[in-house]
Amino acid sequence: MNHRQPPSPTKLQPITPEAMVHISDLVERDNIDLPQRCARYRRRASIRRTALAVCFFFGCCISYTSIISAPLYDQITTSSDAGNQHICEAIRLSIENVS
Amino acid sequence: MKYRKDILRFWFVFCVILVLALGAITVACRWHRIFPSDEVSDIYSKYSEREDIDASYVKKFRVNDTVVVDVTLLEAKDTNVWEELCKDFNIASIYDFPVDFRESLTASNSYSIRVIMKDSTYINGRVDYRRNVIIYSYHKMSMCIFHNISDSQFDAILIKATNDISD
Repeated sequence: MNHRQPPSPTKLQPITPEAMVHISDLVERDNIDLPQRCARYRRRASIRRTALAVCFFFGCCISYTSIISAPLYDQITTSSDAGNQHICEAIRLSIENVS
Repeated sequence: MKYRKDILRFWFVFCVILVLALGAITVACRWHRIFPSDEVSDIYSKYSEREDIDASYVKKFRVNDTVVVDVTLLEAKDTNVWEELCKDFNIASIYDFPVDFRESLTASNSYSIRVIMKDSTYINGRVDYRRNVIIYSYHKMSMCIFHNISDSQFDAILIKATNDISD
């Protein structure tokens, strides 16, 4: 029995003349312009990439702004030795414990 | 190969722009902390030189997600100074109250509120009252003066104050 071995996946097979003719026929029949198709594919990929980048950019900016833009205070000027934490805590307590 | 390089350059430029944008946002949001201004309240200016009073001025203290107020905090270091502060702000002295009532006033979590109406303005056809609000504690001998606050700011403070009661 003479079994035909399957082609090795890592090794490129040479294109036979019959296959070349077949490809030429296909290109001619479907009027395929390979460089143009390639350029179109790259242009679409570029648009997709730009859209992804823009969405990611604005997503990052909005998330970061929402995280960073809620500080407890803008600026503290004090004559005491107590830290800012103590001052904020005193104000918070005064607001929350009005009776 | 050139195509792959173009993609790499695109993402590199994108990362640089993103870092610059985040840096700009950080500076914009932390502007007053990075470049502190000299702006303080009149009350702070008046009491900041005193050795027996701790005075602090907080610009844009955040009451809730949307409301910020300017606050001056005064903390007296002894009873005499506190009595003097009460007099300055027209607050009744603790000794003006009956003895039985003093205990509840000097309880650690008891704060009282005093509202001083300042002026009113018309905004979109309705009156917007401006007021200074003083929240003070006999126990802590401290008072917070909320400057020139509008109706919405006052409501936010009251809501915050009554949240604990409703819980």
